[in-house]
Amino acid sequence: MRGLFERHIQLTGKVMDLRLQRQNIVGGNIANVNTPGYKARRLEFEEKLQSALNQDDLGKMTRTSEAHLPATFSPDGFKGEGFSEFKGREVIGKDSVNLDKEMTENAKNTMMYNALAMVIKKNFQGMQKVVQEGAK
Amino acid sequence: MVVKSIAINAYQDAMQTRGREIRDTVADRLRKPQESAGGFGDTLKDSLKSVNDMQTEKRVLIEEFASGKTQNVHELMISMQKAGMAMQMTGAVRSKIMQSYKEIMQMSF
Repeated sequence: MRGLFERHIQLTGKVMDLRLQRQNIVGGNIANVNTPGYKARRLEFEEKLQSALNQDDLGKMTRTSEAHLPATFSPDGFKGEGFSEFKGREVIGKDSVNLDKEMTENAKNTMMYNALAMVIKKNFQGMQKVVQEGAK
Repeated sequence: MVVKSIAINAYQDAMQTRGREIRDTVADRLRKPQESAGGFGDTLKDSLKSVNDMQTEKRVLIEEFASGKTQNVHELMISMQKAGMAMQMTGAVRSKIMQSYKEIMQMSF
């Protein structure tokens, strides 16, 4: 069943959530750049999301019958995976946060977030246009 | 002399007729089969199908971009713009069709 809002709108919203979360984590890493013993944390969701969306080559299947198990993605239950990087040796007085790396990650994340915001905005504008045109 | 010119004329006539026949045959062979113009309904159906295809392409690109499979922003934007433009065009055509339908309905015969 297709509602008014298609799957990609929900998906875009969910990915924006995850990117916000990633922004917070990167911000935390940068804030802790001088904390001894702090390990940089990461948020990874791309690969799992791709396999959840059946975008990897293995999962590209088509449903030929309605009775088949649906593989539709619901963005409600999806979560990113946060973990801290493995660090074997601890040097007191030296941070484990690579500031350049964090800044790059931050910039990239911001750009992706903005692009997604533009995508979802254009989607809603397009729908609005169609609704208005159809009412005439 | 007279007899000869008549013979030559007859010969030339025959040659011209034959030449025309050959030309016609060649032209017939070269002529492409005329495509049937197709009804208004077919045109409409095809256009709607291509609009729908653009929307599908846009949806796939958005999902791939959101999940980080492709990092290609410009392609995404172009396909979104194309799909939006096609949709707008469809709306415009639809309202024109509805308008003309109403006009025809109001005609008095």
